[in-house]
Amino acid sequence: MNKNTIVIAVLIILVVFGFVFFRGSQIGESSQKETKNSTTEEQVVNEEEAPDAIAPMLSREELAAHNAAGDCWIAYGTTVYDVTEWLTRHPGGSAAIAQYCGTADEFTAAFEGQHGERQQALLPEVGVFKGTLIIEG
Amino acid sequence: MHLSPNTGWLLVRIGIAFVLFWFGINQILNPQDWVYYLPEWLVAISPIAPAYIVLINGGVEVVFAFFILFGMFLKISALLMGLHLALIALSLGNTPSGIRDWGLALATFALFFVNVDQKKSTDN
Repeated sequence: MNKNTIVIAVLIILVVFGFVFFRGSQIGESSQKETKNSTTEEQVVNEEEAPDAIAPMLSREELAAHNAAGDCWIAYGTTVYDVTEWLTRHPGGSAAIAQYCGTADEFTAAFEGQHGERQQALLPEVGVFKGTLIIEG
Repeated sequence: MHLSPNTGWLLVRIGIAFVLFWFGINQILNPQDWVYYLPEWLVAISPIAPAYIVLINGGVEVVFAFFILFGMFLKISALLMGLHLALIALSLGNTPSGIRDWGLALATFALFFVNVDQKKSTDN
C-alpha cells in the first residue's frame, strides 16, 4: 500500500468528518432553539387556540383549489396535508409531487408506488395537516 | 473510435462517485430532510438521533465517493458501497427508487469484481 495513498485517505476522512462534526454541532444548537420555541408555541396554542383546533372537513373542490407548487395540498387517503414547504426540500425533486397538487387518489397511488404504504408515517412529519376529505357517496 | 476499456471503468467510477457525492453532500447539508428515509429498524436500534445517523451516513458516502473517484482502496470501497446500495434498495422494496438502486448497486459491485490485470491485458 502506497504511503501517500494512506496519507491522502486519512486527510479526506478528517476533512469530511470535520465538516460532518461541524454540521452536527449546528443541528444540535438549532434543535435546542426549536425545542424552546415549540414549547412556547404549544403553550400559546393550549391557552388560546385549543377550542378551534378541530380539524375541518374538506371537499374535493377545496382540495383541488390548492393545485400549484406555490400552494400545494395533497390528500393521502382522506387526510389532507399542505406540503408547499416540503416541495422544495423533497429529495426526489419538487416536480415529483407538484404534478399531484390538489389531488387525492392520484397522489395516494403515486405515493404508494414510490414509497410504499408503510412510509405513510412520513406525511405528518413533512406536511401540515389541513383536515379530512369528505367522502362523497 | 477506439477507447480503452479503462475509459469505461473510469466512467463507471465517475458515475458512482457523482451519485455518492450528490446524496452524501445533501445529507450533510440537510439531514432533517432525509431522516424520513431511514429504515425503522435502524432508528429503533440506534443510540443516536436520526439526524446524526443521516449526517454520518452522508459523511461515509462522501469519503467513499472520493476513494472510488480516485481509485483508492477501490475494491473494498466498491464492495462496501455496493452492499450499502443493495441494503437501501432492499429497504425501498419494489419501487422505482428501489429498482434504480439495484442498478447502482450492481454497477458498484462491478468495480469490485473487475480485475486490474485483466483490464491491462485487454488494453493491449
